[in-house]
Amino acid sequence: MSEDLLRILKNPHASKQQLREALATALGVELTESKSDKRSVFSACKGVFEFCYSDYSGFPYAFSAKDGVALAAIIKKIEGLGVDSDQQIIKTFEALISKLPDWYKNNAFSLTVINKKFNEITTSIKRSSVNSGGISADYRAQIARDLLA
Amino acid sequence: MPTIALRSLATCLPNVLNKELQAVRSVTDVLKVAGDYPTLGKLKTAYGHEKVEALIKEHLIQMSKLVNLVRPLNEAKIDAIAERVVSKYAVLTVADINFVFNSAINGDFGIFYESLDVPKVMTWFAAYFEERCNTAAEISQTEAINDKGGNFTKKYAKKLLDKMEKIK
Repeated sequence: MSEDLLRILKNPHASKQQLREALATALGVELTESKSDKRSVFSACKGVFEFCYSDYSGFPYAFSAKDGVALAAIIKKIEGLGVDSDQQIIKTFEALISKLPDWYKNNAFSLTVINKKFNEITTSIKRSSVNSGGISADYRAQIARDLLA
Repeated sequence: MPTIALRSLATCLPNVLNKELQAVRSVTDVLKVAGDYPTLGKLKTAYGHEKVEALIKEHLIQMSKLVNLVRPLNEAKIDAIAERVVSKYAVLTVADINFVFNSAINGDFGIFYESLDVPKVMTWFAAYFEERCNTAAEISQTEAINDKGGNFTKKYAKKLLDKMEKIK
């Protein structure tokens, strides 16, 4: 066992996550996600949604049990897209909400609808980004540099 | 032939030209002021191909902001249009370029149908270039006739008046 691992295992102030990782490394096993990890992804996504919702509508989102079920299902669907790390899941969810087509924002801005129409929404976002391509900030900056240099 | 003062690229941007060319409403108007503005070819010689392309790109981006598009121009399309315009229409002045984009915004080249692409934009330039050539030819022809025939020149009018005065 390496010195680093021993130091973590003997450290009385080591966090639970650090201990889990150290033990898993020492045993040579893959760490399975704990319930708290799942919960942190869930809370982060919930926070993202509530922020986007209140930013768009000006009102706080009334979060109910069925929204919780829908959010958990959305996270599962995002995982199904091949996104595995927690950070990536949160980022993908953030992109999904921020790029939500206007119609949904205006008429059906809720987690239950996003869950139900997940396939349609992701296709719509992908199509619009492929077609528009968008103009990146780098591209605009290059034009400005060319013109004003 | 008077030499046209070379402008900086910053003074050829849409926001600057739109203010300066507010009174320009037709191809004939453009031809009247075209002599005061540098051609793309002249700018290309002074600043290089890339910088003039950047100017066209800026015009395209500003135009895109003013029209509703489901499928707007992406970076690749903007690059392709800028490259083609600078290569093919080097004889056009920045006043012409500004007029083409304003005409497109005004709907003079037809409805966008919520999308823009390379052929559509290049068609505007082709249509404008043809109209510009025809208008310039007409103006040139009219001036030539007047000079040769003398019917409407100042000199001939004075001659006629003098004749009439004598008769009186």
